[in-house]
Amino acid sequence: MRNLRIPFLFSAIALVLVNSLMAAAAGQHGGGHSSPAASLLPACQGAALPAPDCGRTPAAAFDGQGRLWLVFSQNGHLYLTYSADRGASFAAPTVVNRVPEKISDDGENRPKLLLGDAGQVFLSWTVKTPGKYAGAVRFARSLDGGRHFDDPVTVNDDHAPISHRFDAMARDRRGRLYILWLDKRDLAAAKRNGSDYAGAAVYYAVSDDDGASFTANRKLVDHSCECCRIAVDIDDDDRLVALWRHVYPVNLRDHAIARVRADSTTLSGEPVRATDDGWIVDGCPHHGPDLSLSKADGQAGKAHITWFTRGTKHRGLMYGRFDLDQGQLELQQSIDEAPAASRPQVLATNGRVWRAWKAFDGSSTRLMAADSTDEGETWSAARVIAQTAAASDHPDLIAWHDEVFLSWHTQAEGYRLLPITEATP
Amino acid sequence: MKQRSRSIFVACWLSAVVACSLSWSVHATPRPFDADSLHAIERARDGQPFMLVLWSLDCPPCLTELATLGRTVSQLSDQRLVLISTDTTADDAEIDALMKRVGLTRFEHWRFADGFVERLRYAVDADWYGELPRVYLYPPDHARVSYSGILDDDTLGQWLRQLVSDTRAQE
Repeated sequence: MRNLRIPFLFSAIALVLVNSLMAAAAGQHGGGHSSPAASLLPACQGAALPAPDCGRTPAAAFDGQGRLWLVFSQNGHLYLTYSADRGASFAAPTVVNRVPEKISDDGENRPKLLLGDAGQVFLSWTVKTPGKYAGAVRFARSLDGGRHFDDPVTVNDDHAPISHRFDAMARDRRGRLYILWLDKRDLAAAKRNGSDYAGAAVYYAVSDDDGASFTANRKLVDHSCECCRIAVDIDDDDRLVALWRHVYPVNLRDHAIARVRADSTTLSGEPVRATDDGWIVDGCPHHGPDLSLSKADGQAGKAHITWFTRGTKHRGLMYGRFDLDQGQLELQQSIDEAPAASRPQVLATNGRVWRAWKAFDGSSTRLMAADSTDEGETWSAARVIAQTAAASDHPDLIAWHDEVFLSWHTQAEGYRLLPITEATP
Repeated sequence: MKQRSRSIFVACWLSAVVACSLSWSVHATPRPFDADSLHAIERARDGQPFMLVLWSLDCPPCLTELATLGRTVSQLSDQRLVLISTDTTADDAEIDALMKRVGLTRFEHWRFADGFVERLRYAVDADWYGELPRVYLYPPDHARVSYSGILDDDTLGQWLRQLVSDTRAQE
């Protein structure tokens, strides 16, 4: 017995030593519970201070004075900052959520930012909660230009430990605030009843008091795809327009579009099929659409849309113009057929439509853009706006009046606001 | 003599514990998958059939696929299935827990080494659009075929039978 004690002691010590060495090695490789480093910049290593260069998934918007506002995720917090010089320098960030959360901050599932015209700042995001694919939709607001934020609230009112993710946010001209998300409460209910339910549902809540309170959750539609972002905009009649990847029977992953009545209560008619590419897959595209309603005279009800598909009829990144009044896609074009191309964005300004996307040539990622002066009928040659040879976030198109920019975070270069209007021939 | 035999005993015990611990640690942590890793996976199975499964924690259908595999691959030897998660280092503990839950720990599992997903996806397959789950069947000559989404029962059954018969033909 005594003879055995020493080996046991040794083995216990050895086990602890070896395992701690392995854990240390794993740690050096970036292990742990925080998200991997968003940036390769020296200033962003270790316990870096919050900064647009060092954070993840920035969302950008211009205020009425032309200042660029940015919200980004870093170490479990959302931070808000602004730049008065088009992104050359930023004010000291303020923290949004004082208690750290597991913020979803990957390309497709990222915080959203909207500004009011009286100093209001509205933020929505998704937090991971315990449980398989579980998440909650969060909201926080500031009424004093981002100096102070109210404590965040959870918008999904079932508070169940299931999936409520991929939030989207829009605000109409009357100031009514919409938050939409993909919700699996109907799938959970179907499972309890022993029946099947395809995909998830789109739910939404509305606030008409600047986010002080929200309506009870409402269902927009059943059977959306479960891991693609929702695209939203507001039409000329102050109606919310939403575009999402749908699950048509059986596992047909084309897109659907719908308008919500101006009183915000129900859909204005049934959702209409927006794309017909014939993509049948029992899987996750992880690649949602974008939407921007026309700003041109006489083009009310025309939606410029971009999306990704791998269907039998079309493949790759697509652009189209959808007529909401007629319920028809009246124009469809390929943007980039390459399998590695991603994140097609679209933005309509007065008299011009812009589209942007990421292309990849096997070693570096190129941020591409093109514009159209005839409502999407014809387009300028695609231009390389920037490139990077490491990981990069999804780009966003944003506008200050007629000036258009790409807002892009890349691991090697940090945050950039890239003007693209000037580049037009 | 007695002292010496005890030392030898202790040394053997220690080696066994260290070896066991090392192998446990290696298997419990996904290997970082970089742009060269697919070649390493293929080279290690030169002339041999295998199935390659790409998945992510953020993909509910992937979990269904992994659970099905956990129930159906009992006939496959350890080298015949390789799993690659497109998640990040922060997800390693969750990946390990899932592998245990679905009973796939005996197979090699990898996880994307960095966030430059375009490059890693391209290294796997220049014709892959990133949809998950994504499965490849490698016959012995490695002229692979691909499938996107959850494998239907017929295809999975056919692929597993082919893997088993190709493996037997090798032996």
